[in-house]
Amino acid sequence: MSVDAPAPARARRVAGNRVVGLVLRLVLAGVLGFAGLVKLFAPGGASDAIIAYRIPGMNGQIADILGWLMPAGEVLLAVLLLVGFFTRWAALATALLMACFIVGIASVWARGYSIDCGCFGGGGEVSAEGKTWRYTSEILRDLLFTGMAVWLVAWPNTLFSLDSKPNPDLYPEGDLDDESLDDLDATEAF
Amino acid sequence: MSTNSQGKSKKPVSAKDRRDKAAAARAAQEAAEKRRDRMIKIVGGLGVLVVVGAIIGGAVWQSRSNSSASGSTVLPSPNPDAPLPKGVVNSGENAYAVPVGDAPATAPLLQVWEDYQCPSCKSLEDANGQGIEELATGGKARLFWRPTAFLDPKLAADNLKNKAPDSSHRAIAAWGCAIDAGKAREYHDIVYKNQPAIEGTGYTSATLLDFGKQSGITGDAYTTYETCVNDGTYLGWAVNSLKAFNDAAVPGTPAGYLNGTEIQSDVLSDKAKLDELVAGATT
Repeated sequence: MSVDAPAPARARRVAGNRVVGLVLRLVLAGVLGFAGLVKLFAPGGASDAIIAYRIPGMNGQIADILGWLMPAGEVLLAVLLLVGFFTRWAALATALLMACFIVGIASVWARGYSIDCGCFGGGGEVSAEGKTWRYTSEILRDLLFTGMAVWLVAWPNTLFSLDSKPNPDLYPEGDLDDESLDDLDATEAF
Repeated sequence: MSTNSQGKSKKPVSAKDRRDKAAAARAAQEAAEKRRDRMIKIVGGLGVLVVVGAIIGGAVWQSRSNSSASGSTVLPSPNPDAPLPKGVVNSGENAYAVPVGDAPATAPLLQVWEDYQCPSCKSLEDANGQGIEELATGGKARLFWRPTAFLDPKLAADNLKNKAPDSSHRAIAAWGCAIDAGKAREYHDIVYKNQPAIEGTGYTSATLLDFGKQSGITGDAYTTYETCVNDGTYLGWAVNSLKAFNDAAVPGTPAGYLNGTEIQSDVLSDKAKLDELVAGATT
């Protein structure tokens, strides 16, 4: 984004990014919100789904805590992205979370287990039938979400967000010039 | 307009005055923006916290009311001193497990975790239940069935609807009564043979009593079995075994372990593969 770009073109491009950013925020908020709520309202949270990943050092107590904490975190990120609050940090956390999911799925796949990823509730052992496509599609899907989150890390200024100024289009970059100062004088005079 | 303002202030507006005014206006605007930003941060932060807090509170409240709704059999708390069926111990690597067969101490240790309401466990039993039992009766492995009831909270609503609350726990407790009658294997196989096609249907008390009859428990022994089932004598054992399952972080059911190492599910359910694995294992 060169500063030398003609102003109208730059404005258009920024505006385009802000709309795309809004869409990405809403999509990620929907995905995280749904995933988090389903797990949060399932008996025992996501504890059993987490255990199915056979993470070294995992035990029942850690899984119980993580089984509540992780969906709670997903819901928090969803709300942050929904209203566009601390967008960059929320997007960064989302990207890292998705990266963890990808590593987790790839890892159980490589170790030869056949589990339900428990991404949107459920979880646990499932039949090995269609395992390759199941894992592949889950990883591709999470990669897509990671990419969306990375976009928001790069361009966190999005439409309808609490982060951005009320209406940035009315606040062009640069200082007040003499012309606007004259307007100011004029209003003060009356 | 400018004449008007000059007329009032008398003094001509110098360049310095204009710059000062501009700086002041800029500072005022920046301060206002900062205030507004801070306001948005505080209000937005509080709003986000309230919304997320309400959602989490709702989930906690729901899980509380769920667990109290499923409590019509009132399961006891875990207690290592709870009564145990014959041959079951409350400590060590086979705590609360049901021993099968009489393989020598030098044979490899084969442990199988199952939940009586789990459809995949029925699939395993259909595929290789016989093969697993033959390993034990043939003296090739020290087989221990490890009961768990982790599905009860998940199936609570369906179980309750069918008047069969906590079916996994109660099916295990009745198994304890059958073990005392010397019908451990028979009862185990009968339950899987009669597992309802729809997960969550569960087992009513009448069904569990009938499983005893089908297992070949008769006469006085059946009277004892009936009393034992109706009293829920071994519910505490079921609770303890579920706790052992959770503490061990077993990744669902069925789960097989050979000398403590998890067996891949496609091996566990395949007689030839499992026999080969067990044959190659040392104690």
